[in-house]
Amino acid sequence: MEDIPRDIIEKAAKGEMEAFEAIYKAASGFVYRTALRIVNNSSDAQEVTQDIFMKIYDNLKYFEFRSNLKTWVYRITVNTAINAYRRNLREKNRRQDFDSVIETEGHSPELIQAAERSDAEKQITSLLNMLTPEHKAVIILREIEGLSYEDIAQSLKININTVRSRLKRAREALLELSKKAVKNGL
Amino acid sequence: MDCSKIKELLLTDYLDRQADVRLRIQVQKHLGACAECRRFEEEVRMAAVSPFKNAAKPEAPESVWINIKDNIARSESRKLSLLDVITEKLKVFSLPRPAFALASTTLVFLIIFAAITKHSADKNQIREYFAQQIDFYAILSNGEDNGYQNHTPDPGVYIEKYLF
Repeated sequence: MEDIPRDIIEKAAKGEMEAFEAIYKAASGFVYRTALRIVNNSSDAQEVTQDIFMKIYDNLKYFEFRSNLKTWVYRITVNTAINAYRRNLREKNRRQDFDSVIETEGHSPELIQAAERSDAEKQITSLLNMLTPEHKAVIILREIEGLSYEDIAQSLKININTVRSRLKRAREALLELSKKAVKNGL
Repeated sequence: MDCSKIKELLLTDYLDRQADVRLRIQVQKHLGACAECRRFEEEVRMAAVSPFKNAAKPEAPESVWINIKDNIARSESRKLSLLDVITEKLKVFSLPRPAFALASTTLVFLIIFAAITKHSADKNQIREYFAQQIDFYAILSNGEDNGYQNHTPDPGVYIEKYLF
């Protein structure tokens, strides 16, 4: 996600739609992708993206520049997406295996296209779905969005050592899955 | 540094290039000498790094921004209509500043004037009462029977007006 100049943030905080659109353009890619990876459903990801930008719009006037806007956006995104994921999980009692993910992606043209386009994309979706939401979030922020440990810590409001331990556990889980897949001849 | 510490670094700081140069050199030295850790590094890269290297980076569909704009417009119009109601209720206070100041000052003067007037009216009544009392005692001490006993008091003049 690219940096957003302070004057744009101030104008958006005053309700200028052009400035807010500039923020949307700078942040929407990150917000939508992260939401999509966490909730694993395009229509839910769109809804989460809308929620996140409404939260940003409503709370921008309280933003005091003590932290980076990017960090603030990362935090709102991850928290809102994880909450939506948990809510959906409770409502739908989704199965967590790969086949059900593909089935529930019936109304997700972007991900279906991606899955058809690439086996790698299928693998990413299935691997992420095996992780807990917290582990999923650190892997997405680190591996897909390329955030530093410091940025992840600030975004999730956790200690940098917690970032390390979550990444370690998430990767151990991925390693374990890979070993099982090899053992089962997948 | 033992293998367990090296594996921990391979899962975190070393893999993510967050380790400083000194630590990286230590890990690289260890990897040069330890086949098990080299294999572990390869497995970690294959299972936890490589799969994400070519992750698709889709952008949000156009409809998302349109919906956000609509939601903002709706929310702003709701805020405006609420503001209208409050403004309507407060219209009585919406006089121009000089007129409002004049009205307030006049009101304050009226209140002060009313208080002073009431105070002097009370004082006059008390003064009149004492004057009547003094007259009455003067008549009594003179022993004059001027028909006071039979005098029908004028309730509008004497103390009796307080009793009747």
